[in-house]
Amino acid sequence: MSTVCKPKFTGLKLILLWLLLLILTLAAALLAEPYTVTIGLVAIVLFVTAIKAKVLVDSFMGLKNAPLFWRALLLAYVPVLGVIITLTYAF
Amino acid sequence: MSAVEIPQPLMPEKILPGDFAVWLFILAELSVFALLFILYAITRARFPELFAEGQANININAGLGNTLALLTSSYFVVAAQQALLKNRSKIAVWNIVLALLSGCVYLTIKAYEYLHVAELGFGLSSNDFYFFYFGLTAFHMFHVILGMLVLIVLAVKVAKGVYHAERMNEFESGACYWHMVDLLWLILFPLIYVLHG
Repeated sequence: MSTVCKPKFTGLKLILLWLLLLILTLAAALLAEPYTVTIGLVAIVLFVTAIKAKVLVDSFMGLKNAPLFWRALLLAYVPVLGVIITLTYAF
Repeated sequence: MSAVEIPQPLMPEKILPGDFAVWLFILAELSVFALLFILYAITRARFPELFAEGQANININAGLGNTLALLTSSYFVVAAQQALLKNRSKIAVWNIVLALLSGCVYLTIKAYEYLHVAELGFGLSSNDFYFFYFGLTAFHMFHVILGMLVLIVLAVKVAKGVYHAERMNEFESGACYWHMVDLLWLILFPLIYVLHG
């Protein structure tokens, strides 16, 4: 099967998205490094991870215009795991 | 009353990039990793001191370097895709080569990281933390190596002119697999490297 696609975004937008991913990665690492892990910190770090995952799924994978089932599945993956992981820090 | 045809507004067609079979494969991979992530989190909750001691021996900068390398490789794969959509094959090939180099950076950091932990005297069977640390990261690394092999095949086919703006499906399948490998690392990084103590 062949699909005809159009360019998703300009080169500048792609660079900005990449920079956003790098900044969020550094922010999460710097945020957690000096502190003892608390459930609040876990939630913040995993929330940042969920934002990164959204950029990756919608823009890099190109699922923004994909069928709802697949997009919802991929977008929910990190937040759902994030909630489960955060809950394990509560006990 | 006669039926009147009302013009429907043009809606963008919902398209799943790549082959459907590849998405089923991605779904299976994500499910397996999700189970492993949950098992790691539950085991960490049972033995928090053991995991904190183990995580103290893991270099967060190595994890950071791995993350930046994979995100950069994903950037180059999208750039290659964009170039291909404009029928600029040479630029697409160069971008795939840069993505592969980023993958090599990841593998180099991973090798350094494993050597460092091994020099400290720890291995897969040392305790539960190292079992998960080596098991999860090595399992992921095998996916990176497989993804790099896929990228090499894509680069060769792009160079031969197999793919172009009207024939992208196979390329998109490979690209989505690569991004999935990146997505999995996005969770591994905080889970093992960032959330310590």
